[in-house]
Amino acid sequence: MKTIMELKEKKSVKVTIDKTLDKYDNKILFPKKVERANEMLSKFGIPN
Amino acid sequence: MAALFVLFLLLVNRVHLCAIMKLDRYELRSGQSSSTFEFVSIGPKGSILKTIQFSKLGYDNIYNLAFGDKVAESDEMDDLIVTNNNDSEKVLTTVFAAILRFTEANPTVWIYAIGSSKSRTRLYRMGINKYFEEIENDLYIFGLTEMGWEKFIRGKAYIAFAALRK
Repeated sequence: MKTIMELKEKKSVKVTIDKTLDKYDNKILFPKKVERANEMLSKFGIPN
Repeated sequence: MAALFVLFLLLVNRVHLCAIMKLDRYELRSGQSSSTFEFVSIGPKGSILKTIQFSKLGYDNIYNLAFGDKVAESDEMDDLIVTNNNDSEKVLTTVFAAILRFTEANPTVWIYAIGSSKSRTRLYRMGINKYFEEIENDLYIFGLTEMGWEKFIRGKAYIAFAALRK
């Protein structure tokens, strides 16, 4: 019988892991967007 | 009783899976942390590599969503370009899939999304409107007005969006 964990795993979105993309983990690729988002965040915060 | 419960979970899971699977989208590749994704948009303008990135913002547990075209032979991204590859809806459903994947890996984070232009923000809103029933299976969606945040209302204009995994 399938476990609950196995059922949950079925919901996962299929994605192919590509380790060459790990190089972007500590790099902001869209700096202007992030800057703007930080401005909005400081002004409006997050939803209650 | 336990068997009935498992059967119930199976049925719920199947309905849920169908809601997501019916969205036509591109195949995604990601790094091991699921913070950066790539996919290839295919259309009349050719095959165009697109990148999605979730970047940590200045507060704990809040990430910005951005996506755009990868500039050839570089690590630079262009989130203002209008590709006109006749696949904007498929691109958006692919981005939704990336959000689901990222929030599966990081279930307590908030996602911020702001369009790089008014027309891009409008495109986000139209995409959320169109696929709201599928999206709200997994995510709480909020819209930002000049008055502040509110639960997303279909058809209403917003300047930014936020999402949280259910």
